[in-house]
Amino acid sequence: MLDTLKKAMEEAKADYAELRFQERDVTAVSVSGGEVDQASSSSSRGTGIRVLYRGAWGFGSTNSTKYEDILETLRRAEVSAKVASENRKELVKGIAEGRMARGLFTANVTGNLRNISIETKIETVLDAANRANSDGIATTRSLYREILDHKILVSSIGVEAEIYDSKPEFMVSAIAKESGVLVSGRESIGVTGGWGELFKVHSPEDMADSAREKAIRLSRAKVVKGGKSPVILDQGLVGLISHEAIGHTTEADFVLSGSAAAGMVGKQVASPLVTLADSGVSAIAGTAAGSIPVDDEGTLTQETVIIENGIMKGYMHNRETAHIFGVEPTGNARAYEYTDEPIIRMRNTFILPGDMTMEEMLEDVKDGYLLKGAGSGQADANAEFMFDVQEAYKITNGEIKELFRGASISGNAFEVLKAVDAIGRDFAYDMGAGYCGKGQPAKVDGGGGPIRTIVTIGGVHQ
Amino acid sequence: MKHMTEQEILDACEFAVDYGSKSGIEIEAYGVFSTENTVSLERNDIATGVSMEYSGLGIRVFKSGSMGFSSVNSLEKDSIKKSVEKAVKIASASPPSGEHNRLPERPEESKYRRINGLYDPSIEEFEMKDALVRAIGMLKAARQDSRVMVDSGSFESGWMVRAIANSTGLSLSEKSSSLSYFIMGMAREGDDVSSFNYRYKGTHMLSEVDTEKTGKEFADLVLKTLGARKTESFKGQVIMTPDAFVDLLVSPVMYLTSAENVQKGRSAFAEKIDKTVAAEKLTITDDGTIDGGLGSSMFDREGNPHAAMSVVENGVLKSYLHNTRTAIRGGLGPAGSTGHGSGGFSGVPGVGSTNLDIAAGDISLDEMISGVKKGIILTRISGYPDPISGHYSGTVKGGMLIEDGEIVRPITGTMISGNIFENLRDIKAVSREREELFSVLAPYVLVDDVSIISE
Repeated sequence: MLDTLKKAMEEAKADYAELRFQERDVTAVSVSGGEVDQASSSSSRGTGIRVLYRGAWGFGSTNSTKYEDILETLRRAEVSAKVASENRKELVKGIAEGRMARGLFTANVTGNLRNISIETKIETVLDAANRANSDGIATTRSLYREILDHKILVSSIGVEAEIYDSKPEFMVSAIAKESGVLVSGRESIGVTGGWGELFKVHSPEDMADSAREKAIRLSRAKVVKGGKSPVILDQGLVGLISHEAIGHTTEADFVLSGSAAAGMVGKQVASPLVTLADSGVSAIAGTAAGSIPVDDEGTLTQETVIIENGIMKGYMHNRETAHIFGVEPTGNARAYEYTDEPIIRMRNTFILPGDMTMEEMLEDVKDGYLLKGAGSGQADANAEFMFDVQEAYKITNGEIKELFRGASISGNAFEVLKAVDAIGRDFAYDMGAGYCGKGQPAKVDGGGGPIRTIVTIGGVHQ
Repeated sequence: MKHMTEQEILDACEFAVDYGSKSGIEIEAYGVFSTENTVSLERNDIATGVSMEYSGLGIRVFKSGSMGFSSVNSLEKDSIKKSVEKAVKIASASPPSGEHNRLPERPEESKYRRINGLYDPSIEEFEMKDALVRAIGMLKAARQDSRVMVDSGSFESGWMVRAIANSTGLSLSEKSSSLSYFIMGMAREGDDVSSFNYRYKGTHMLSEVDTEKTGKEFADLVLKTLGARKTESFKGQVIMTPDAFVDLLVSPVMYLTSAENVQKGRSAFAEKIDKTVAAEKLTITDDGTIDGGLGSSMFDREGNPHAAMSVVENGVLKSYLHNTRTAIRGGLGPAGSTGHGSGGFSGVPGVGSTNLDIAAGDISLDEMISGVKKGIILTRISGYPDPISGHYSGTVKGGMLIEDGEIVRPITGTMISGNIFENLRDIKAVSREREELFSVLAPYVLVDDVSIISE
């Protein structure tokens, strides 16, 4: 396949051409209400071709592996670029060159997923769903999904990389019913690695128990009352804010569109305690779900510091935006499938841990909440966000008290980070089972140390 | 790659069915071929032209009460054979879970109707440069006022062939064209930045495309929310635009009426058939047979025909949406699907709505506004309701304050919170005007007693 891609690339009339062959196998098992909803396997393969021609981009894809079809797809991409070029007001002036990848890149895997039988996968999911069920639980759900990728990437500036990736995820949830109200508890994990990495920290059994207990606990909890309050946010919520409310505003394409981070480099945007990074490969990235050694433009990834000790240091870039800003590409250009063009995406986004224990963080809170578990939500380009929180524990005089449910948090993410006065030392990721959506999905992760700050808590308004 | 015909896709489906048919095995193959040209917009300019062609086959196998599924995007015979073998292997590895794991009973020929207005032959000659003209038209119309900032948008055109075959002898195919476009961004005047907002539109017919109109509508939407200020907290009336109404109330209703969710304990509408779930003014009909409808087709994801069906009638829940599995589980038998098997080739059929018609009311939007003493117009809310508890809270986007029957000004920094089950019952008025939002035709609604909270 490498030779076919290279042969087609040599025929390119465009100023720049990038060809990405991607073979993907997805296996998924989902169980709900005690039975297997579906066990499935999907295979796809094809090539996505992107060209830059007289200052405009064109992209095309084909699922054929034949040389003639790949060449024809390249030609179509060139026509698209030409048509766009003739109508663009501003042309792409250049694309920056970073550390470009050559060679073989393979995800570290303990327990290759191809060697774990479909029977084992089905049994694991079924057992977890059954285990999460008990008195007080109305229904349970569990799912497992793995994405195995093989990519070959070539580009006309000398990229020649072959990449093997392996990203499994697992989720179990329980829905409790108490006096007609349904409340759910959920645990999930997603990693880059194999079966061993997936269940390294928590076994499926532990996660099932935890989801069940959480649902039951919450079903008995009262609904929280709203208001502005000092809070401690757990690692999952820190990850969610770092990704959704800060991260997106620092993606260079959003910056160019006038996001809240525009013009902020060099300025104080957070408390001096806060260092926020987005990492493709690093010690702290480890087996997190968003880890990638090479992005889909062929740039070697790295740890990209976005905020250092409260000062904004830079943005996340692809090669085009890096050229505009006069910096090196950060390896954030990602495409989900061969049919997708690479766009600026996050990888693993987090706030570096601090030095405090949870006890020390609690100590100074007279009246506030410990908020745990990220739920769904939304954030805007101006860094305003609103997220659901699974559990809200009242803190009174440094002690954890009653549990409340139905909480959401909102505010401006930069204001929230400015108000940070303590960061915990227990680092964790908690977003690996999910996907980020930006026209196309991406496996990402997010986390951090827990932080102490001030947010507006929404609840049912009385 | 050569464009594939309806017959070629159907042949691939039948090849898979023949290859997998053995005694004790039921098999279904659903195939697609699609070709698309897309022009995207970014930061007030043309961004990229993207052309794409893809094909795919989804294979479902039933074996003594178990199901296995596999999909593949190559329609070469060897790839199809491998995929069939995988599906059989997965079915064999799955514990049997019941008699609902079987193919639908084959419907009578007379139940199927070719839907008009799904395919426009001129789409075959519609090229990238034509897509570009439409995209530019939308961008220019939006930017007639220089305060409007287009963050992103696209114009997408293409056509698709769908086909299905199964071991009961079913064999169907259909071709459709599609044109869809969206535009998204904000308005900016000095330091004043409006709420982010968007408009979108879709159709099967080239003659119905009017990207300039959508561009202008988008510009009006963001411009009128410039100069927004906070308001104090109060409990009042909310007029939901069709967009907000669909996001906040209609989508959860469709989630709750999916038999899949009902049977799996995820719906508060379980055991609510023939019970009142909303105000009398609310009537929702699902109909996958409307000519030209974006949710219309001759057959669903498992080859069943569609029919008009009342979901909510005058506030009373009338029916759940079924595919074959949920119909059997629900005691309706293997012919009991309501034609709501949904999804693409790469997944197992789920349950989903087709075209939704939400009945118009008897007053105009102007009359609705003039009847509000104190309230807001809601165009969008950040955050989704939890369909299980019904609770939602979120920031109001593009909201307008109404006082004594007049729109006073745009608002910002405001949250609303409430419960969808209460809101559904508290619908006090439904407008005569309706908007088409892809496959949903929806009016404005007035909801009472909503908490509006200043942040």
